[in-house]
Amino acid sequence: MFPLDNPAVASLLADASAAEQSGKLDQAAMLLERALRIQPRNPELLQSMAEVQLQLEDYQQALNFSSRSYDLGPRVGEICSRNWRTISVSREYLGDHGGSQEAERLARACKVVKPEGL
Amino acid sequence: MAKTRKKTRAKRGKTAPARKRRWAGRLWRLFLLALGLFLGLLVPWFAYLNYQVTTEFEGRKWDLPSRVYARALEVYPGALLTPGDLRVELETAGYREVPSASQPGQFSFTGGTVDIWRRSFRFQEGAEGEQHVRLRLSGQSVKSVEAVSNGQELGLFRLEPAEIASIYPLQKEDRTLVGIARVPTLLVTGLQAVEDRNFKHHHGIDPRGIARAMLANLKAGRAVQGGSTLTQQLVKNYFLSRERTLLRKANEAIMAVLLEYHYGKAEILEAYLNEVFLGQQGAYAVHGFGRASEFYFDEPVEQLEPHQVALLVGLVKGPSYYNPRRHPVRARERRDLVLNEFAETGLLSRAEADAAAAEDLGVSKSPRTRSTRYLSFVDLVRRQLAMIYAEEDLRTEGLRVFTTLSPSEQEKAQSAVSEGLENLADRGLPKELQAALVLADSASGEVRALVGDREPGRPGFNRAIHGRRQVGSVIKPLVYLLALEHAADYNLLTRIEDAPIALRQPDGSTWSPQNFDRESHGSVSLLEAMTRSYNQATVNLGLQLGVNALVSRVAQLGVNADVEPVPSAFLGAVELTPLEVTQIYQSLANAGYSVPLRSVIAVQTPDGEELIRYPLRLLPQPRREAIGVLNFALTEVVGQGTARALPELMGKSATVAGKTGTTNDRRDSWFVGYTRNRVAAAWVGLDDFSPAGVTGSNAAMRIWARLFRDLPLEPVDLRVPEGAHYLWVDAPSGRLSAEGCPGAIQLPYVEGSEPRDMTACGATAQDGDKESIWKKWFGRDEQ
Repeated sequence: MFPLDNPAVASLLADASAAEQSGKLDQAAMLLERALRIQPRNPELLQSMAEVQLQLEDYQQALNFSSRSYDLGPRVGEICSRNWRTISVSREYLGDHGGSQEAERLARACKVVKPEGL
Repeated sequence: MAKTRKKTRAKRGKTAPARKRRWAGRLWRLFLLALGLFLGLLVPWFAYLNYQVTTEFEGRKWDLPSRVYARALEVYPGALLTPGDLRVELETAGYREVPSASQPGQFSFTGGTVDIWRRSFRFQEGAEGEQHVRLRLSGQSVKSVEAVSNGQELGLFRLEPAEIASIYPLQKEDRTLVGIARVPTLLVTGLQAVEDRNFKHHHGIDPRGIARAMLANLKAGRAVQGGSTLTQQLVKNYFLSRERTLLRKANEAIMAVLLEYHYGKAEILEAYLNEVFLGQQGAYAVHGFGRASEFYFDEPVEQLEPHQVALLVGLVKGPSYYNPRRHPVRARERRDLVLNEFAETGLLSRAEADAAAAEDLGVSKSPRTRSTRYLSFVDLVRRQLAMIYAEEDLRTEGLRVFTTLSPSEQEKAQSAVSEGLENLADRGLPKELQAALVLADSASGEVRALVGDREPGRPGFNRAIHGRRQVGSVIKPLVYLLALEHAADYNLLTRIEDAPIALRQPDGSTWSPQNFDRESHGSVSLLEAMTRSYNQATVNLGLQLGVNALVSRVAQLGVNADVEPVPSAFLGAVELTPLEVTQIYQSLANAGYSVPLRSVIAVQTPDGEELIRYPLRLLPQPRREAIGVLNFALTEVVGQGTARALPELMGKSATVAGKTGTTNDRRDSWFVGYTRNRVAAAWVGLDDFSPAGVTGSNAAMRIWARLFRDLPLEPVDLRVPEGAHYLWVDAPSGRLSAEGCPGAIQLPYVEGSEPRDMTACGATAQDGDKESIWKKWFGRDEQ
């Protein structure tokens, strides 16, 4: 998990996860949107929104939110691989098979904490 | 009836002669004729009235205005919020400042501590009860939020949104429906005590009441009391015209009886509570106790105290004669009289009534819906809603419309325009100048404020939405964006020619654009040409890229405007509205993730059922790495270009990105700019398109600066996405350099556009310092 230093955002994210787990996906999206108003550049929130969009079967938005998360995130580690996983699944649903496989490969590469060399 | 006639004829035949009898027979016939006529007319008349009463009352549905709400203010530790802004937000939401908050709808300020007793409210995602919280503010932000009851720290608290407008039914009635169960008991019983003591027992009309009224009137020698029951009053308001004739009085009585025959007392009373006329707000009649409570006290009817109940009950007799805002003395006398009746009838103890009579009227200074104040913004709301709702539905269905408006930012935007234009007049610019201003959240595309006229609340032409004007240099960054997207050919230091141009037009004339300073500057870098807004360099660059590319890029950025594909488009011979300009720059402010600008987030039925929601949707632009590089260049416009006076005007030196725009003969002045969290476009000019003596930096930028001077400022995010990175370079030569080398600066490059040659100093430094350069590029701080 990407660290959340803002208690307001943390509590909205917790509520959103609870809503998501009980299948209230619209509610989860609304709560995440509230949290994003507070921290629009928080990679964890963006990625969580992407995962909710994935369950809502809005693959285009899932793809867009996870790529925004990747742009702003550390581009390494756990969140990076979640970014690419969502991108991979979304691309697959959107009919971009090659892109999906490429994203899957990048998801695995994220485990490397820091790429070597220049 | 025929049968009766036959019988009588037979009778008459049997006992024939004698005058007397003939006379009696004539009279009898006359009586029968009259009876026949009477019954023949009355029965249908009764039936008609009965039909009217039942169908109208059964299918009664008041036209309810839609309520438009601002955004709900989120308060949490760390939130940027000044005491002044908080006060504006509270007051707009109808909160009253008191020495110590003791009930919902009140707040108190003591130093940096604010007590707020929030009302219960059904938010977009559900209802939240009332809540008493204590905030600690320090400087520009919230330090802590705690629940007063148990001192527990709260991570998050939100204020219910201010009601910023109502969209009224055409017959101009304003009403908030209330159920009888929600209304204070004293209102229900007190109303009966004053208006119709026998309500529980009569059948629509009250002969004793009439007798009592007649007696009182006789004694006084004039009409001091009315004998109408509540039912009759309801019938009068609900079914009948205002004329005072005997026939109408008769109808009223009959219908009252019919109404009582068909419906229960509670139903009739509830209808009365919602129907009775209780005041006038401009062109709108305030009907019912629900709205009257909001109108006079800024409070929901449930929360009324005895003295307030008494005032409203007293108003039934004559809402304009006893208008508490216009005739406070009269209103107070009336209220105290009502309180006395409450005491006489035992609804209040004598002590309670005396205590209530000692209270001030407690009427709010002005009615809460100051709809004119947000008129410009509500235009935008209506425009967004018009795409899915018929005007009729908005006016009658009582919809709850949740919008994105920030009351405190709207207030700042309006004064930036009004005061800014006064200031421009003092500086010698025309007094008739007009302006428009749009302010949006850069990440969510939510419009926070919108000003369409220099006069706050003046209805009419909304320049922010409909004012289509040439944009001038505001378009130029898109030409540079197109260049940066061709990484193999252009980077910020690529040289282009700022030299005279002569283009043959289709009509045979020659087009030779001049620079603002009427000079040509020779070979300049892209960065210089853009930050200094050189016309000739921009046209030369544009011609290399093609005007069609520009036209399609504008469309790609979410603006559907007619852009004529002619070279003058590179210099902004393109007519756009301030809203459209804001839309284009939103994409740049949000790192290439476009979000359609929104003013409405959701629409619900009066019961809170969601009808439609406009969620956050990201529409990524292609080549976002080029947008990242352009983002940096736009901060240089403010750093050292045409907008370099901006930081001083704002009185702040945070990193801001922006672009000025001026059109031919100084007709239009534009400034569009953004920080990390806000994007705004300002326009200044004359309505008749005549030359106004304005330039981007002498007019619109000053208004923009006034607004941002008063906003919490977060510096522009200068990070670039994957596919771009910062390099140390030598600006004059455009070669790679290194940190610490003389004249070295850091500039962003799209991958593939990096310089290949290296300065001597750069080559030496980089050999020994690969590691630290890696850190420079990728060791970014997160969030």
